Amino acid sequence: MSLPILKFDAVVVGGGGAGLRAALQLSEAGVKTVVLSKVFPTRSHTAAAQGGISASFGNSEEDNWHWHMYDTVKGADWLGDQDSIEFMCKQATEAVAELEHYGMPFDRLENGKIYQRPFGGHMAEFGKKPVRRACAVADRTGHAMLHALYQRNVKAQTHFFVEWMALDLIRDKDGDVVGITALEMETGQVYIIRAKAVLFATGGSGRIYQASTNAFINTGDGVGMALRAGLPVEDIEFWQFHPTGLYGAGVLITEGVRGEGGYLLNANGERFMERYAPTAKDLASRDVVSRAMQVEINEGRGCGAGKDHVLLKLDHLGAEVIDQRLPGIREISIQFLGIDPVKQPIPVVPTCHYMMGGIPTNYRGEVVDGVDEKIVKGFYAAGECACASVHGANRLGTNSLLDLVVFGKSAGNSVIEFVKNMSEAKELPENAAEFTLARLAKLEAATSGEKLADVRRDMQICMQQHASVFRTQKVLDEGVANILDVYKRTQNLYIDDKSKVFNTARVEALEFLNTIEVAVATMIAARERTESRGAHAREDYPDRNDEKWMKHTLYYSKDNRLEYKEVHTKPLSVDYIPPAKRVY
Amino acid sequence: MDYVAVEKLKWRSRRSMLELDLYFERFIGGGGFAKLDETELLAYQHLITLDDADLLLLFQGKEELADPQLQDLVNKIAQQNFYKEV
Repeated sequence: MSLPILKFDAVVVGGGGAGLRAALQLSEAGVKTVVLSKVFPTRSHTAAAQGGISASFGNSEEDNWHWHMYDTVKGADWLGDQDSIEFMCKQATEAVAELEHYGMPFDRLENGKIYQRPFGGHMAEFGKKPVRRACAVADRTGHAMLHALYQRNVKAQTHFFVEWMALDLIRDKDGDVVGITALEMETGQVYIIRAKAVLFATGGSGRIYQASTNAFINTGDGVGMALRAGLPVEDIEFWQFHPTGLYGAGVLITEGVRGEGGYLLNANGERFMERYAPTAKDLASRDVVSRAMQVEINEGRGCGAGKDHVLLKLDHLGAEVIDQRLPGIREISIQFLGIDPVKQPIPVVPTCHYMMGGIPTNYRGEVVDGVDEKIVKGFYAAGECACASVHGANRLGTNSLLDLVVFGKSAGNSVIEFVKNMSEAKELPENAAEFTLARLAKLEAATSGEKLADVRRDMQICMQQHASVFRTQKVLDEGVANILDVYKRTQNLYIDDKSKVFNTARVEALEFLNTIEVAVATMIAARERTESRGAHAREDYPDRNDEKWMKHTLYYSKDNRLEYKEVHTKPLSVDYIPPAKRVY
Repeated sequence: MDYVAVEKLKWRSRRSMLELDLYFERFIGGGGFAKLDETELLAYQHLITLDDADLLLLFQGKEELADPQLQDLVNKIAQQNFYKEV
């Protein structure tokens, strides 16, 4: 079956911060670029980022990129590549200044300079004292960034294919990436998009967990496509969790609740954090509180019919304090759960927030494969779907937006360099769309089997129970068996609706086939890492083990294979920051 | 509004932030969406062209729209029954 073929110099998959920043770089350089996005670009998940973007301007007090680099290396628990981290921190001020010039209305100081707010983990003088480094547009930083970048792209004449979904990478016999297959939802038509370069900026995959702060569009499409194309995913066992997400909804309940005197209770009405952290109690660090909550649930002291959450009590604070000092908490709880925290405690669970791992790249945004980091020609990635790796085992707050613009631009520049001497894209292989069409045909042909909602629910429950914040060998061994069982069931997925035009059931099934790849990768990678580092905390291996485990995981979906490669310990211009105990 | 147009509205109810996804999911999955008449569907079509940050303020009752028909729709979406018993 022959498919229509569209030709571009570069195709960018994903219209969030990284995709738009990359596309802008390309279009302004005259590279004919199309951005594919499942939703209108300004509705990408980047818009949900509120906290800010870090850059060491030092507008309020002395700061410099080297201190920012130190904080990032330390935050990453020494699993980050120090060349990438130096690159990002050094580029930060220029990247933010560019956004300012694109029209992002940053909050200002009285002297007109960009206002900077303090943020957890942002320190001066190599960890000695807090420093104000986060630049923000009120609580709409991501939203403002997307709008500025989108408008700039329109001006630069970037092409947009909105409500299109990329389906698979096309690689030729040399392994080079020469295009993608994609679905136009409006018509149901599948296309081949032939391009000199493909750049993935598809975001995260937090929907693998039952409790997630991620929007529904975060289904790990880029990682799924890369894995199916025989490429690896790096450090996928590392996921950042927040302790108090609203049970059953995922919406975050700010740490400020506990700061104001709120505390956690188990099913026995016990203030259990007193046992886990006698001094700090409910104000212990995020990972300590999250794990304690999960232990209570795992040991049968969870609340509710399913014994699957704990309670956050704040009614003793009184309505006045709650309304004045914790604005929003009351209405969130009432609206999403029907519970007024002035009268009843709020049900909460540890909730997935951010994917540290992703498609392995160097700091130039080029995708690299294997232990020897062979460049995959024609393929680039940036943002949450990529692993540059700057976040290592744990991301520093406000580095996510920075990652998008620094590596979006960097990947864009690499594409410009790659395509400048190419008159034509490489030839498509004869069977370019065969794999995609076979996948689609299987889904279309199935008249019975597993329903998407059932398999997706079972995947999310499995991931929550076996690969969230409480990890032991036993829990992970069981998790691997369970998730592989769920994976088998995905082979029998079927959808009722077989219509061609705007078939959202088909789109959701195709998304899920990406998400499940990420879930399996996470479980298998987590089972093997027998240490605790950053977000990967093993009860049975409580310490970081640099001798054995200061290395990156590479997972390949074929045979569920794992390889390990060295962490980059040579920064670009400064001395290596050697491992130390990560204390704050 | 034909089937495809209605499906489009549902897809376009996927947003950038979880809170909005939950409001719309509850409205669509809970049957509220299916009860909209033609005029209300047109209002819905207009409502989902708004910015996500503004939609959130509307659903949280922190802002109101001047158009009473649109505001009525906002109220319907924001005041859905809670779909999950704890």
